[in-house]
Amino acid sequence: MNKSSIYITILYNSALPPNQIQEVCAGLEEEGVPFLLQKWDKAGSFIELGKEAASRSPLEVGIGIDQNEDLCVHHDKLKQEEPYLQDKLQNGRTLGKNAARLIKGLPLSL
Amino acid sequence: MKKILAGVDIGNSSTEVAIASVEGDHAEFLSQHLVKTTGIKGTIDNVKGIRRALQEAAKKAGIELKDIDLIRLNDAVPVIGDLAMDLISETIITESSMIGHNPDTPGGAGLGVGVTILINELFEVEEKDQDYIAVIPKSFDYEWVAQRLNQAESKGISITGAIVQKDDGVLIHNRLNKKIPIVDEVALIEKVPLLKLAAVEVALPGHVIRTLSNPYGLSTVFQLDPDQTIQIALVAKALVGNRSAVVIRTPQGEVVERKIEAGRIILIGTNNQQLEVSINDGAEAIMNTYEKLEMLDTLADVRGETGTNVGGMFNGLRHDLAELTGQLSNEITISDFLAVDAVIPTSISGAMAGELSMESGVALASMVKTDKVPVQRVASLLEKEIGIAVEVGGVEAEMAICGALTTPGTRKPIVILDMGGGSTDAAMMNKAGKITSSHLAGAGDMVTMLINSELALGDKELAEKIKKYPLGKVLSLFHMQLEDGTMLFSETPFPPYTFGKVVIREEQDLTPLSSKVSMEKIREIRRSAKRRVFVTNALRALKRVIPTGNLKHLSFVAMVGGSALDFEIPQMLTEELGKYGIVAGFANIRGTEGPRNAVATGLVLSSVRIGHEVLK
Repeated sequence: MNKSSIYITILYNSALPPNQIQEVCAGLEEEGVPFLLQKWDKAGSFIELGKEAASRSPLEVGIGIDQNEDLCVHHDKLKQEEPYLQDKLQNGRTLGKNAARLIKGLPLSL
Repeated sequence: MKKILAGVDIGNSSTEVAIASVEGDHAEFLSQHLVKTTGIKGTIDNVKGIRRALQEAAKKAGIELKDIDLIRLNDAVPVIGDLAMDLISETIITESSMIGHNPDTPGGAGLGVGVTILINELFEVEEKDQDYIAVIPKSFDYEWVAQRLNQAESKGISITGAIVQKDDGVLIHNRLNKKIPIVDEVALIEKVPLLKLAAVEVALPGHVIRTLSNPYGLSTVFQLDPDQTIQIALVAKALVGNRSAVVIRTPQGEVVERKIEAGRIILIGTNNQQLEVSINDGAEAIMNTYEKLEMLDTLADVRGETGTNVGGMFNGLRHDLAELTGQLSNEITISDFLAVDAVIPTSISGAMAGELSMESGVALASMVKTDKVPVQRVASLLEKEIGIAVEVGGVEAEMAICGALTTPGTRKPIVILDMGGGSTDAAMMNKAGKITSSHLAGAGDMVTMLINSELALGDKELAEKIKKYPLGKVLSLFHMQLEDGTMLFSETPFPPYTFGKVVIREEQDLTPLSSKVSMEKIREIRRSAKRRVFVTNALRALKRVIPTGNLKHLSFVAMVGGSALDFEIPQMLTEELGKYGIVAGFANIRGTEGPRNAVATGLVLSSVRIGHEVLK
């Protein structure tokens, strides 16, 4: 299987500076789960972005981050209005880590 | 003439009521109810609970409380048990010399040996030909750390491993030019001694470390002589099974396995026979000594050697019970006890990541004889408060047998095993209707204590839940593995706090367990605790009530009481007693009530003097 085709999608509002989302990526990297960063130019809440990210992700798990620095972990099989985890961007490391652990089937750190 | 009778059974933890309409020698049961016992069994505080139970039962029967003609109370003698647990050995590692823990994501793989040095002092090192282990507290960012390590590498400073406080092991490792093993999530990194020889080992995912968990691996790394190797062997033992570890050798460091002087138990017989046994000898030796005394004499009291752990254990027990009963503590004697081996997780002194070592110990449940607390006072108060005649019925064991005989498929001679919270009681009724009984220490509460200790929970309520319900492990958002390996699917996602965790499956809720212990291990501990207490006690109790002392002479054993409701204890006993050809199972009182309500039912039936030919 092509390694690059397995990843968690991160959709973030293009108004956010990229270095702000670095912590989310660090959380994923520490757990060893690949990810794909994508900018989102249109309007949309972190929940809509999360759901869209999940639907684009081959692992069915996605992360959405909006310009209010809210972010969520979403799963393709969940209803849009019920993201699995929500948090603020300052806790991005933990949220990224938990998204990865969701793939690995390990307990989350809450 | 029709009369309405109520049987009331006050137990250690619950109060049960049965209401029946009695005409001649025929009793028709109308309803039953169970409430939590208020106050200590046999004291006037019980009245509150009794009234509530009666009211509820009357409501269920469709009658008024005042329609009841007679209330029969059990002769509730408080049997007070208490539990104590203590260590008999302890590993002490002084001068902090090891970290053996399993962070989920250590970095790299392999073994690194070198001298510990703080990351920010790396460039100040003098000896260039020395190998170093970098110590990285949480104030340092992973990007900076990686850059620093790469720089040091290019300057020719040899770094062979790293110890990191934050969960950054993989992040640092990914940015290094020269890969080294990294142990992360070391909470108490400030305790790591600096400028000391240390070894860092990380195994590949799914593997365990091989060098630091091998005494000769340690002796090779640290160039130890045979005497020092003997000393450090305990460190190796503590690291077996880990994926990563750090061992730091401090010259004054010392590792010892200390045998705590747990003390001796002194068993005193009624004819002044006296036997002693050391707690260090373990539960089996203690129970054998007890058996030996029983062959010569009857147990009158148990004492612990003064100034030792066990002495403190028994003194504390006496003191608590004295307060409870209002007696002097030297008037309190121990009439029975049960000792079982226990594993007690103990934090290792000198460990740096909160490691525990499993030490052996002994748990004790003891039963205390107290003066009969006049249950008559309870009866009078109840009579006064509700205006219904109250009488105190027969001995509890007789009533329980009388009730148990309403189980379909039983007949005299029969033995009942009443398994409650504090005590396991057995009573035997022979063909002629003569009853012998025995009260033994140790039951459900002791199981809870063992689970609580062996899983290092520090939470009695959680331990109680583990005892009562089966486990599951949440594997994904929508499915859970059950204890027997089968899968359970859920239409709604399992909540995040349960994800990836072992959970207790209560009827409605899932309670997650925070420990990393596997479901299989928890199940094993739960089942072994139940076996150690209930199988041991069932055999002990049965041997005491059978005239011949030979279990093969028994045919029917009916289990009653709260612990007979447990989802696996009755099966364990059915299996164990089946070896002796005994038909053993939990009772089904009146064919409908299961193992509950035996005494309350017996209280009603004994007043009409009929056997088990009862219609519901």
